[in-house]
Amino acid sequence: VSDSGGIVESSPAACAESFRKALAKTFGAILPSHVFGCVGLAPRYSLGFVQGDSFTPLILRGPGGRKYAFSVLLQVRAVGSKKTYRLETEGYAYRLGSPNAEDPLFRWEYRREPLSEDSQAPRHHMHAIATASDGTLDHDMNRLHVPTGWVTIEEVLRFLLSDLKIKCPLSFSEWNKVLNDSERKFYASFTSRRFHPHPG
Amino acid sequence: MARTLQPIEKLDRKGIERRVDELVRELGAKTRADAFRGLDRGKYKGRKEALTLAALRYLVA
Repeated sequence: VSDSGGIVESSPAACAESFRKALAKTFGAILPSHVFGCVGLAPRYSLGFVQGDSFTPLILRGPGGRKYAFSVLLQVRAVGSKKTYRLETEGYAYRLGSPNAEDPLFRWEYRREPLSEDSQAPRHHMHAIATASDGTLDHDMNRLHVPTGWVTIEEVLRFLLSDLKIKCPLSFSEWNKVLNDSERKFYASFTSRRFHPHPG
Repeated sequence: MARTLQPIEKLDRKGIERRVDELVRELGAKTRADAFRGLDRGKYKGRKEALTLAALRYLVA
């Protein structure tokens, strides 16, 4: 870890692998069996759940036989030279919905370089299949780019566990520690912000 | 002929380029540009190939 923050390794591939390993450890402790992989052409890498030759959603089980398809796509770029490379996030997309639905129920997205059609929208945003209505105004939240802060994958996992009650082999105090440790590492490695752990 | 599946983590540049072109065909697009445009406009909702194309597109853009 450098003084200015960020995973620092001697090559772009080592940076990406370091990031992949850290996330795989967190996912491995909480989610059902899966492969969290990384594919790339230096200096750019994509990370997500993979199966064979495809990126794939992971099927999660909730109470009452509910099933959710959860996909993660992280896009990162290693910047630097002379055996000192640092990883930057260029985009993320976390999607959660029914395994059989066309559209995910929830999407949290960020693109450093937005698509041309979204160029004026908040870069960190979320969508949901829902209508926000107060009886006078109606808005389709699947089309709006509702602004968010930087959404960490740990916060999404926390939402899955605390609100949707996704089945997990760990107790609350155990998964809370896994997520706090993982998020603390993210803040220390990738940002200059201070991390405030969740109590528990 | 049966396709030999290569774990996606192991794909090199050639493998990634080939997989992108396969996905473009599987999604029914004529060109990469058409497929990428379709991806941006939500044309491939519910298609499992779209997630992989989104991941690999970033690498060949």
